[in-house]
Amino acid sequence: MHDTLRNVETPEGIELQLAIAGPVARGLAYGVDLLIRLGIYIALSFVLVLQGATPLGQGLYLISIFLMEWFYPVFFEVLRDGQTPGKSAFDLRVIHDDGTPVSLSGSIIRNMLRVVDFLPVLNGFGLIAMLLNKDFKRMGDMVAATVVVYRDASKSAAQLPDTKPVAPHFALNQLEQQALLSFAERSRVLNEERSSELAELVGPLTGKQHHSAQEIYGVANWIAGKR
Amino acid sequence: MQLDNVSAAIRPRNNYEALDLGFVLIREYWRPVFASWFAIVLPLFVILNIVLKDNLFLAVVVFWWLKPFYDRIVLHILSRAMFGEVPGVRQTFSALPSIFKSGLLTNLTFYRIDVLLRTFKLPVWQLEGLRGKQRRARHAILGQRVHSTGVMLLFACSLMESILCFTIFGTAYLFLPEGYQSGLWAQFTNPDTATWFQLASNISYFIAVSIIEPLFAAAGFTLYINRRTLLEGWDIELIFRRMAARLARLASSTVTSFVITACLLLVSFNPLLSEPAHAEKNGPTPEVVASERLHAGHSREVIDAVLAQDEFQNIKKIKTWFPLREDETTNPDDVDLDAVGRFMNGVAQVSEALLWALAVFVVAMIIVHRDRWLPLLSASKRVRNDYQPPETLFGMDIRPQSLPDDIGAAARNLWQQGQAREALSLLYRGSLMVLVNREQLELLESHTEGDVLKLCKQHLDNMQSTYLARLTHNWQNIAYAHRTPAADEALTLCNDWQTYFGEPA
Repeated sequence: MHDTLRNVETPEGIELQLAIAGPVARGLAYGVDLLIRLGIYIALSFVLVLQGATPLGQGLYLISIFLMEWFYPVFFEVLRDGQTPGKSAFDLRVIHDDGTPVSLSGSIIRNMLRVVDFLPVLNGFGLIAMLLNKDFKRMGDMVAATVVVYRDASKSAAQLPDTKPVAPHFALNQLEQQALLSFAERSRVLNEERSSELAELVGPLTGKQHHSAQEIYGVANWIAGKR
Repeated sequence: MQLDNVSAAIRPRNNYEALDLGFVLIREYWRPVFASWFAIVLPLFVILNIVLKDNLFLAVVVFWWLKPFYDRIVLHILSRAMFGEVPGVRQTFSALPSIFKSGLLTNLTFYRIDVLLRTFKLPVWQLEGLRGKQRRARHAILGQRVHSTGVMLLFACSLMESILCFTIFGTAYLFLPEGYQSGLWAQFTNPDTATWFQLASNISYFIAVSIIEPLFAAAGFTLYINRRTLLEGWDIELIFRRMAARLARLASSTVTSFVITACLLLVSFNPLLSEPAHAEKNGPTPEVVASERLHAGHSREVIDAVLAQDEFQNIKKIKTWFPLREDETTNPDDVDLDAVGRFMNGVAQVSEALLWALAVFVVAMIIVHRDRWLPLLSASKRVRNDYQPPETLFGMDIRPQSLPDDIGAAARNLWQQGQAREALSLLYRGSLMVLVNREQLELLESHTEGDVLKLCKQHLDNMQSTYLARLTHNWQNIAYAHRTPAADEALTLCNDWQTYFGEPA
């Protein structure tokens, strides 16, 4: 199965799934960060350079540009749970390969190596390397063993249609239970014809050969614990 | 379309994840995609450049214009590969007529501008084969909630395309021998670009398009797939179908085994022949959930009954030490607690007295040794007071007593006697002397003329500084370059010295 998920097993034997983020979301997040930095540079130039134009102001301006260019991502990634403002806008975060939060050294390495992605002319080769890598890693990510993933959106449980709980006649495995639940949860997105078409598919779930969507919602309610 | 054969994980994703799946698909199926790409699009590019060799820029514009055609090739391959049937180059070639019929002409003419969701909308044209009103209605339903992602995809892809194009061109340029490099910028600005330059940019563009356009098409396709997955519950359908197959198998297996056992029982009551009933246990055990749930109180009884069985009567005897209760420990030879309290109080009082004594001692020592630390506070002042005006600067004597009283007049005299160097030297020395002695400017022997000019700014007013700058300039000219200033310049300097540096009246 081709997928963008990556399985990581913790030492405790628990499998975590990381939703790897690809070049489009990451590129746009980078663009947002770039715009933010540019805005700051322009604002700083009003304060430090244009007014009076003292050598001290110019010096401070250059130093602040240096610090921002190299440490802006490091600062946010380490202190804000792997998210620069741009990444946050696209629900991305940086973590280590093994699913742990990005460390200071990891963040510094991956950001120092942005230069390598830029070589020799613009980011073309860095982009190709990223497209070829199975985890969409930049060269900096490869060296620092980090990866950019989608942050899990916190979802509240969707409302199930209010029907009488019906017990299925068979023990269902986890996938099947999940499918039945999401069928009920998405009852508003799926239109009526499609819902009854899907309900037809489930087979002898409660002993009958054919079920209506309402009956499946009943099973979903039973699974959800309304007994 | 057989959903069971799908080779990509079908689940509802967020829109950007859906795009990423397209990128993954291209990585998985790059062989068939690029095989057909280079069999069809590369020759097209070559032909365009040969036919339009007098206007290569037009060739690249036409190549760009034909992009919807390339998207269709990629979509044709991916939409089949995703469902387990990877078309080869020959099959793609034979599919070309159907590709041409899938609204390609419309897309290449007045729908060419409609680029925002181009590859997202393409499957409706090409795979669903809808036209006219139906197609527009379908686009309207599918297009909800993906519009911004579609725009971002186009933006990101065109940016990646330009970056790649520049990278390829720039890298090739780096390999040029040095003599050939200089003409490049001229080529960028020149309207009549040279053929080699235009050809090189066309090739760079072709390579960039070859890498990015399949991604763009694939990402649009997976965005479409994701949208349909959400709207039509594809993920649910997949699992429902599998579940139905399993349940059907389970139901039939329980029924058949029941029938078999019943038959055997009917045929004979020989207990030896009841073996199939055991054999049934080795087959797939039917998982059956009781349709009735037990009452909670009743389940307690069941649990207790189970726990009362022999398996749970595993009692172990362990010997270990543990302290008796506190109040039972009445030890007769225990220390009198009050006495301990009194002793500790005494210690505390002594310590407090000692600490106070220490504090007093420290304060006393601070006062006694004030000579040692007081100077630290005024250290900077002391250093300033230590300043001794140097007797010579730049090898010139600047002691007041070495100079005449009326320096301006003396310098004028020297100038008129033809001793220009001595005259300016005198003026400059006089200025330095004034700066050091009257203005308290702390000049050191290590300072240069320029340093003096900078340092004196705070001590002199504007006129004085300007005068000193002029004087310094003329002095440096004559001292180091042996260039004598013009007569009136020199005389003005002599006359003005008194005004700016003379003793205030």
